[in-house]
Amino acid sequence: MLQRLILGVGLLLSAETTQAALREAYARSGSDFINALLMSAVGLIGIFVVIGVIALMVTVLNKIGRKKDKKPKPPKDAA
Amino acid sequence: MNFFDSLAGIVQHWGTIPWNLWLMYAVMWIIGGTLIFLAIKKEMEPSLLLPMGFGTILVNIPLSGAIDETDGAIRILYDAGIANELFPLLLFIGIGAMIDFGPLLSNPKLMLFGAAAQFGIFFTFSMATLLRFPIADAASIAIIGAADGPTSIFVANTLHSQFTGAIIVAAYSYMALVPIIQPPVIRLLTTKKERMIHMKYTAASISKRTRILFPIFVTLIAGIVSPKAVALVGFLMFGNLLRECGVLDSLSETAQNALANIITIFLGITVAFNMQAEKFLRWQTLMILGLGLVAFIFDTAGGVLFAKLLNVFLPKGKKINPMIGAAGISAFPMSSRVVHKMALHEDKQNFILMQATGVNVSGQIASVLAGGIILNFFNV
Repeated sequence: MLQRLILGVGLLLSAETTQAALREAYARSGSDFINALLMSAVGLIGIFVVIGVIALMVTVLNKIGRKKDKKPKPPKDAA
Repeated sequence: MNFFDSLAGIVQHWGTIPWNLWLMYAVMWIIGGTLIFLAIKKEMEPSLLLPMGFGTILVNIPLSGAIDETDGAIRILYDAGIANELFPLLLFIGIGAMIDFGPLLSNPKLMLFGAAAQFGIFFTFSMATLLRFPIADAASIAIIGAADGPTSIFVANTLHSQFTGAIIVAAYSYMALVPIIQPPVIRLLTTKKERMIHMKYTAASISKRTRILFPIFVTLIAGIVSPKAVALVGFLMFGNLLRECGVLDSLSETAQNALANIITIFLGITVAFNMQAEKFLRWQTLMILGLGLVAFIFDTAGGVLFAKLLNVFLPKGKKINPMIGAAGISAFPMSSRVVHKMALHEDKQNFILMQATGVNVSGQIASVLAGGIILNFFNV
């Protein structure tokens, strides 16, 4: 039964009319969808990278800021 | 020409308008009236929905002089401030001056939630292409998920979307509906135990140097990675620099109040240019409203699920309340308030407002970046 089903699907997919229809469907919407999918994946990764870099930068700025705060300021009239 | 000839001319003009166009105008008057009603009665984003509602009526009067080809006031304003994306950018100066990035700067890790909560934008982008929207329009529709009106206007206009009117209506309506949209999604994705997680907040002091350098560095980083976003991010950060520099208090105040208010008035009434019956009353408008909702739902889901993922790796006692992930949706400050309210509802001693606010402002930056990154993919 399963073999017949696979054979049937295979025959359907190999039929010229089916292939032409699939090609047309891809040309009409599939290519846009795949492009959008790829753009989305890259875009989401891109946001994480940029935000990650900004977060790292803020962490470094905070550390520098805290170190400067800890350093005691010498009194102006020490001399 | 005598009075009766003039009157006959006007009546003759009306007669040339087909009945179906009259019907479309009437529908637009109802839509305009609904926007005004929602603004006044329900207080849904009144500063924008009210001018927009009135503008909708103004541009949908037969032979409206407001959108006349040569001297229509709304057309002139549109060309001067929206066609060239100037108004949304100027509004960003005001928004930047209003935002206190303090809660975010004291806990920079929270920024990642802002990135995760942009998932809805990218999910909707793909879905919109599946529904046969041209790819540039699909990208413009997806930006509704930025939950940020000016970004939506900026991206839709830059990509010359034919659905700008519907996109703007969807963006502002859903922003106002955040308290209704987010809670069911959060409840669906979290357990009561997770919603009751307490998070310790230690208010770290942020040096003035950090506050000043932050907007400059963000502009530099975002500009290098995504040059198309530099105007968006740059104007937002310029406004914030006015606020944080400490020597331009009067300019900061002007940006927060006078400038933001003036631009909001012009922006609101001018975006109505896109609400002309022939442009707005299409079956795609309903699909755009649906896709906008999808974007908001998946933004919320993205933030919450990212927090849950992090919790898998975090030790006991340092777990994150996954609800704060939902605040990364950018709709500021509504989203953080919704999350805080939900936490208090579960446990009266659970105060997560500061963390949620930190995530919320990071969402503001991330949504602008998302707009810029999407624009980068298109040669515009």
